[in-house]
Amino acid sequence: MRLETEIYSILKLLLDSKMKNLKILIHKIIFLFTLAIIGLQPGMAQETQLTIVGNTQSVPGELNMNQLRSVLRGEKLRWDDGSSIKIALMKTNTAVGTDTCKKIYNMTGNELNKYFLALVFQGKVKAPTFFNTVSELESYVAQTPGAIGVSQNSSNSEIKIVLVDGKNQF
Amino acid sequence: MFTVKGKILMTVLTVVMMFALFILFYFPKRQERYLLENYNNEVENFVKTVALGVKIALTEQNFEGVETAIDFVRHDERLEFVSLIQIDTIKNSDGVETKIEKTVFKTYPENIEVNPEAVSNEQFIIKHASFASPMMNGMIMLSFSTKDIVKSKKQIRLTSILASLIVFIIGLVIGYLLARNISRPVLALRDAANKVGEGDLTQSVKNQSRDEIGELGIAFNKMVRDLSIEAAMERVRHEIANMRTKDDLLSITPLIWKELETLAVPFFRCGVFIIDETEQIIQSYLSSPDGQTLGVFNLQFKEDEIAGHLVTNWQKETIYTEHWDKNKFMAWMHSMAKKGHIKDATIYQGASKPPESLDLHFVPFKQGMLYVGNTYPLSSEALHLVKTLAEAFSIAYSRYEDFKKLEDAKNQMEKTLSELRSTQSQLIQSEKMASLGELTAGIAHEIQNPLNFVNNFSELSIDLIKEMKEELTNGNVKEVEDISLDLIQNMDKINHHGKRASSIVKAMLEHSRSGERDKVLTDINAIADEYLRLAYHGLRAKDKSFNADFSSDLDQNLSKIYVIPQDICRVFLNIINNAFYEVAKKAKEGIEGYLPSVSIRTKKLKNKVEIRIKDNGNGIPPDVLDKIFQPFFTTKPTGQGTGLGLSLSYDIIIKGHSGELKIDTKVGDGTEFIILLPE
Repeated sequence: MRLETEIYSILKLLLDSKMKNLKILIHKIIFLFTLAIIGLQPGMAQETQLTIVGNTQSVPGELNMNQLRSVLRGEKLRWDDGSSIKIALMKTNTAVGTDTCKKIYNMTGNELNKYFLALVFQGKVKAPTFFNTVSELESYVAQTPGAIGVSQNSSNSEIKIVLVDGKNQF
Repeated sequence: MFTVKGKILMTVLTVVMMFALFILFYFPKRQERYLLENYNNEVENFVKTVALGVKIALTEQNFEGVETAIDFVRHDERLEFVSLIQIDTIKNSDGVETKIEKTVFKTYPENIEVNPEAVSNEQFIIKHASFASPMMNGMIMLSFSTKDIVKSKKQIRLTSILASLIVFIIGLVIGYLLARNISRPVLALRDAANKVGEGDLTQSVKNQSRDEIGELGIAFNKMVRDLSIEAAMERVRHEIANMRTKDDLLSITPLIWKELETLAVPFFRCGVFIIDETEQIIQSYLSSPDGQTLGVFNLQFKEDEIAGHLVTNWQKETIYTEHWDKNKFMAWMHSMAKKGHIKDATIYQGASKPPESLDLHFVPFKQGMLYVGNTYPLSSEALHLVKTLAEAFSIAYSRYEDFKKLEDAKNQMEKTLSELRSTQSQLIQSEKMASLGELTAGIAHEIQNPLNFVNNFSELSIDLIKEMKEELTNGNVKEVEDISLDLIQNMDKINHHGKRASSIVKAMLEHSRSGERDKVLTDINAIADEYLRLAYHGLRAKDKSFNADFSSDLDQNLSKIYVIPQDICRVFLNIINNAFYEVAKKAKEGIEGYLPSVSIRTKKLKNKVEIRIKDNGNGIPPDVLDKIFQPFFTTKPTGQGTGLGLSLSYDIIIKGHSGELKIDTKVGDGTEFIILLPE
């Protein structure tokens, strides 16, 4: 969101200034794009393709987005076979984690934390397990029956890819 | 008055009561406080754990901790609520003032309305724990109900009541058992001690415990035993101390028998052997088996084998034992009977059959051996008792021997005293005779005087009668009357002097007579004057060269006093004779111008009569003066005095008449004897 705001401001300057400080302007644009390429600012990383992975046991092979949201928000607590749902997410300070917050939860990382904190406080749901790396997440999912997680470009044969709206990535 | 049992029970009950009260009151309070503290700490720990979990969840996205903590807390029945309070610092538009705003973020259970400012009360314990994270600052509020605490408190109280009751009951039982276990032996000791105090020395207490009370019982039994032994010894000492004659000694064996029985020494025969080394004999006192004395007989030292052993072991002061079988016993008994020492063998044997076995024990003491015979050898303890008895017997027998010696000495002294008294009487009689002898010449002179008068007046009277006869013939009646008057005068004179001679003789007879005499009213002046002259003439008769002046100054107001005249005469005679002796002695020294003189003066004092006999001799030196009244003391040469004169005079005046006898003397000037006699 910051990137969009910046671009908007640049365009505004272009329209208003009538090329007053064109040199300065060009430098700013180059600077911003450079940052965008390097990806130094948090949240400015390029959006990743998320893959929903699940344990080979109990986890269905396909869900729609609403169902996925329901599961990942803790609204659904058990799979159809009665086994408990265990959520695995990447930490919100990772790219996957950030995208997961945006795309699935429509929250910031902090808001996600508060959300789950509130749910845990009330005992309504078991909080997700947050991981630092994808491999750790996928390893957890592979070893935990009923576990479902949000990963990225998974090629782990021990876990299954859950199609969301028929897609394996989104 | 509380008994020992009561006191012990009271003491134990008091301790148990205090302990029960402690359990009932103090212990529950402490427990409740402890419980509350623990509860508070527990809740505090829970809330801190939750707070930490929340912080970790918010900072590291690790919800495991907070999940566990919340799960744990949520399932706790005591939970009232757990609430996450968000704390925000609000700045005003100026950015200067700040306000802390507390918002309830989430609460479990959801329906509970939570006041962030709530604090603990009686029903709930509320604890807070803060947390801080980049995302959110806040605190966890945890409220737990105190219902469990209240329930626990009730349980503690009930438990403590039950426990204190149980403790009290147990204490009561223990106290009772303890009191009984202590008081029973103590009461037994008390009863035994009372009986011992009444004289029953057979008492003993059973020792059933190994504690101090058991030791006290043992000590008590030993004390009673020792008392019993001492009492036995004392009886022996007392009995023997009362023995005076050899016949009394025959009761020795029954005495020893009785005390051996008292001391519980096993025996069936006993006896005493008194060893006389001087006479080389053993006085043997034996008993029959029933404790009766068999009399006494003397064994010679070398008469018998057993006698030899007795003497040898007595000299070495060692215990001698010997074992006899029936035959040996019979042989010795017959031997003694043959020698006449045992009169009746049957009585000596004491039974229809002689003993099959006899162990003889001879225990030495100073004067001999104490014999105890038993069917088996005595133990060392029994022998020790026999030895103690022998020592007591020895001490008592020593006293008997000393008494015998004292009695003999007393008899000897009485005999000597009797002889001395007889000698004294003879000496006194000799003294009387001696003084009488000294008077003889004086008496002869004194009697001669009146006899001269009697003779002269008798001759004159004869002449007058012849003349009267002539005048009667001539018929001169007046001449006859004149002559008869003369005759009467002459007869009076003859009568007077005749009586005088008679009284002198009577006095001398009285003087020489011995025996008790009564006090009679006596004219002191008369005997003073008479004996002055008697003494003078007596000395002149013995020594013609003796010459001295004598005078008397007699108080005519002197009344007669009660004295034994013979004794007073003796006193006057002794003192006057001594006075004349001294002046005669001084006269022989040839001192120029010296005129020996002796005077006697009487004077009536208030309730007393004073007689002073004075001489102008050499006086009495101080060293002689101290001894002058001692019997047999004399300054005269040997053969000239008995030395009893002044001693007797002193006794007569002081003891016989309650008078006083003083001496006033000055060396070189003379001596005055002052006699004071009560009226």
